[in-house]
Amino acid sequence: MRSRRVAVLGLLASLAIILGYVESLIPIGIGVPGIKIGFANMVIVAVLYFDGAVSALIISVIRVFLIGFMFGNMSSIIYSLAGALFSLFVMWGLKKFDRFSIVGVSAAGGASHNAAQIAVASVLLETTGIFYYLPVLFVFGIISGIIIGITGGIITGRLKGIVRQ
Amino acid sequence: MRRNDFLLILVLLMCGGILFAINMVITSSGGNEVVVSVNGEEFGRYLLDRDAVIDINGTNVLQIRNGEAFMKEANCRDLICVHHKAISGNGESIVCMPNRIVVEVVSDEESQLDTIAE
Repeated sequence: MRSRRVAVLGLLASLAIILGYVESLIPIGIGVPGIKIGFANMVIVAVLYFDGAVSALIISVIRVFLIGFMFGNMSSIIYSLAGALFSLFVMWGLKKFDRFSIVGVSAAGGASHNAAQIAVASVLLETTGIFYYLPVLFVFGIISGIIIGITGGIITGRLKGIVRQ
Repeated sequence: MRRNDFLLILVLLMCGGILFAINMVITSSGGNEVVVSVNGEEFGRYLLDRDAVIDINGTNVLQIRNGEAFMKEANCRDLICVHHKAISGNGESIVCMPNRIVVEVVSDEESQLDTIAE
């Protein structure tokens, strides 16, 4: 069982990385830093639902570091890690609370992801000016979270059958 | 999707709306000066009513024209700062993440207060 778990988590981590790379090829030039759907989070949300928070955390951290080493730099790793960890924490809490479906949980995750990134960016760049972007990133986080939640829900249903045979 | 989801999303959107309102109140008063900082350290201050082209460490070029500031050129890959709309309202800013540059509009009252505080 143990090696099976390692294999499945590795597979899902590589899926998240590939999705992140595919997304980087799609330019969305609306002049606001940090705007993206976050395709990789589909995998994270799905894993949170069919295998639990620990697996989601492992995949999330692996993804952030590997993507960062390949395409980013130290500061991009810090931004990504802050967003990933905080949104996972929020989603884990809301899921435990058991009042919301995957869509609501993911929407809150998207908003908290962007809020955490802004907070970290303001510390790293030593400016409060960047909070100017908070409203648009917050609302965009909700929208992308809803999209991720719907697709993540579909993926969860499919993966359950494949991974837990 | 459950009914609670709609409530949660509504509450989140309302939070976003409040944030937008706060932003609008802050930026509604026009600023008259831009502060350029690199790596968190102040690079320079420029008056918005004086047209200028400012070279920032050879990586970015900021232009001030007709009371607005915009990033004219940048050597980064995403060019988000170049696509950003021109700024003139108090608190509005353009950020170039790859080069760690922040351009922020401030109003004179604020900078006067800063000098008093110093």
